[in-house]
Amino acid sequence: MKLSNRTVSGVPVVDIEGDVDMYTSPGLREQLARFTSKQQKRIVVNLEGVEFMDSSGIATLVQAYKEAQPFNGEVCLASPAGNVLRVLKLSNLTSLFPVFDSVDEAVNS
Amino acid sequence: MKTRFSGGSSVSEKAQLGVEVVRADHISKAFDGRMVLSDVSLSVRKGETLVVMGRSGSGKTTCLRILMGQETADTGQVLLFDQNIATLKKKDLNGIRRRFGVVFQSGALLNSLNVFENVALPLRKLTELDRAVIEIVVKLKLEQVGLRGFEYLMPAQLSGGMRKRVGIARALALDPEIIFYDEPTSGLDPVMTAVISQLIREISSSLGVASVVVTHDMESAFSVADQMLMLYLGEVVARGTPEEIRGTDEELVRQFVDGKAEGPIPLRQATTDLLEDLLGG
Repeated sequence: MKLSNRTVSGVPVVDIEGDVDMYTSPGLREQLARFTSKQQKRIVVNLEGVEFMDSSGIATLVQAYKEAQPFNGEVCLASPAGNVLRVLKLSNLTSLFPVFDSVDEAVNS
Repeated sequence: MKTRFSGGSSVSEKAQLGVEVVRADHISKAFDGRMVLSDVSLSVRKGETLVVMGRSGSGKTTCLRILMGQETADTGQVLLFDQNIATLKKKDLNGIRRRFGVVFQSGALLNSLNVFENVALPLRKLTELDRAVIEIVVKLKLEQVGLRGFEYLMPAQLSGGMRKRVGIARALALDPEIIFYDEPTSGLDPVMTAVISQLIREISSSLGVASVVVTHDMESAFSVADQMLMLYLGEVVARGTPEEIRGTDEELVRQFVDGKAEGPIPLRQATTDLLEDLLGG
């Protein structure tokens, strides 16, 4: 898995390329924690390049959501593939994360 | 006596879509010169459930142990994810082992750890996930088996069915692609048997996990199986879909499936004459 950061209209965007699993999700956790510790009001996680996400990936997103709650921050998901969305739905977690078709939509919503 | 139903057109549509993840080709095993498994072949695809059934001593547990790499077949080979487990180096075999979960007959929970810690164990031992993420994963797994809210009970405080479900949650912890179940419903009441069978079906259908279920519980077997394989004295005597097995008029299979005392399966399994045995030694 490859992770990179960028800022779009002042909003931090985490781009993920590859599988998010037990081996790679600690890296994502670290990246997201960096933003939540700075109390970023909105973080966009770009899932366009993610074909597979396991429970640890889901849990990592949930943990970022929890960390953003005290300052009313939100973690937005952009372009999740069908199977990633399916995993979120199976876990009944879609209500936690605003989901957008693109990074631009997530940033400008 | 041997009846082999053709898999043929009966393999479910769901199974046809999946990739083969478990394959055994002509495996045989003997202990102390006594053949306990003879020329067994099988195949399981992603999202598919294979039930291996047979009476006690039929070789089904040995078959399961060979599939999991806990025993080595004397002849034949086992492929998990297309890799021959007998020839893998220890490191590679450990990598394969992370990709399957095992639900033991007893639940095999550690009595000194509570439910949460039992499920968290593989995550703590085999991953670098931090504490907060592990906590969420464990809660997700306990939710899947209907036990969220029971995290802090100790194994001694759980019913048999709850212990089995905690065992399943632990097997699910690392998101396995295959789960091996050893007698998952033994010792359970009918309601809990139905609950565990439903859980096995859900795990297979919603998560796409391939399952191998060893059981002699016919009701559960028919409820969870896409494919069934019956062993008798270490040999495959029948294989097919639940409908094919249910519809067979092969006496040996019928006796087992219907649970009848009378039939070709003998009450006694000794191969030597009683008098010879009593007087000979």
